[in-house]
Amino acid sequence: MAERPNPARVVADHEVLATDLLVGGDARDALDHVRRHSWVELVASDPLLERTERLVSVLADPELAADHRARLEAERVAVEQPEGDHPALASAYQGQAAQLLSYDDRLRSAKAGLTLQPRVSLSVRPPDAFARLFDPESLYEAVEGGEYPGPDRDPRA
Amino acid sequence: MGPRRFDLRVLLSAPTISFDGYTSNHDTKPLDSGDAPFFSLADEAPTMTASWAALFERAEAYDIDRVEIRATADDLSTEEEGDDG
Repeated sequence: MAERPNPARVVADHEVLATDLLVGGDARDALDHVRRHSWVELVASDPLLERTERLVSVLADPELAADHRARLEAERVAVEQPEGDHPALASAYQGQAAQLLSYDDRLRSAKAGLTLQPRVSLSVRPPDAFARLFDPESLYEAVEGGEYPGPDRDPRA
Repeated sequence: MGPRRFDLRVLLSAPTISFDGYTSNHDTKPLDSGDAPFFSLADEAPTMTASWAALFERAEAYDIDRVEIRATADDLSTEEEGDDG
C-alpha cells in the first residue's frame, strides 16, 4: 500500500492544464487555488508535460506550448514515472498527490475506483468541483499547522 | 522563485495499476541507487520566462472555448505523424 498521500499535492491532467491556459473557466479557477498558495504543489511527470505541450501545440501553436511547458516545469514538483504509465495517474501515484483534476469521467467510474482504491488514496475530481470545494483554511491547518495566513502568491505573476 | 528541494523517497516496489490500456508496474527499482531521490530541483530550478498573465493573454488570441480530447498517447502520436506528412 502506498503511503498516505499529501492533501496539498495536486495533479492536473493534460486536458485540464491545456484548458487552464487556452480557455480559463473552471480549470483556471482550480489551478489558481494552487498558484496562489506556495504550500499547495502541482505534481507532474515529464510525460504529462509532454502530453500537455503536444495538445497545446495542436490547438494553439508550438511556441506558446513550449513557453507554457517551461512555466509548468518551473513550478511543478517533478516526479519520475515508468515508461508506458498513464501520465496523470502516475504523477499522482509517484508524487503522493491526494488530488487529481480531470475531465475524464472514466477515471471517476466505479470500475476505475475499484482498480485504484486498493492501491492509492486519490480523489479524482473535475476542476469545477475542486475549485468549489477547495478549503484553504482547513487544508492549511492540516498540512502546515496554525492559522491560515491567506494567499501568499500572485496567481498571475 | 528560488531553488526548491524535495525529498520524496524512492519506492522500491509498488503495486500494479491498470487503467485505460496503461499498466503501472513498479516492481523494479526506478533508479540504480536505492538512496537516490526521485528528483531534486535544487540545482536546476528552471527560469520562469513568462508570467501566467502573459501566457493567458497570448492564449486568448486563439479564441478556444473548450478543450475536449479523449485521445490516448497513441492517438496523439498518430496526429503528430499526420501533421508531419
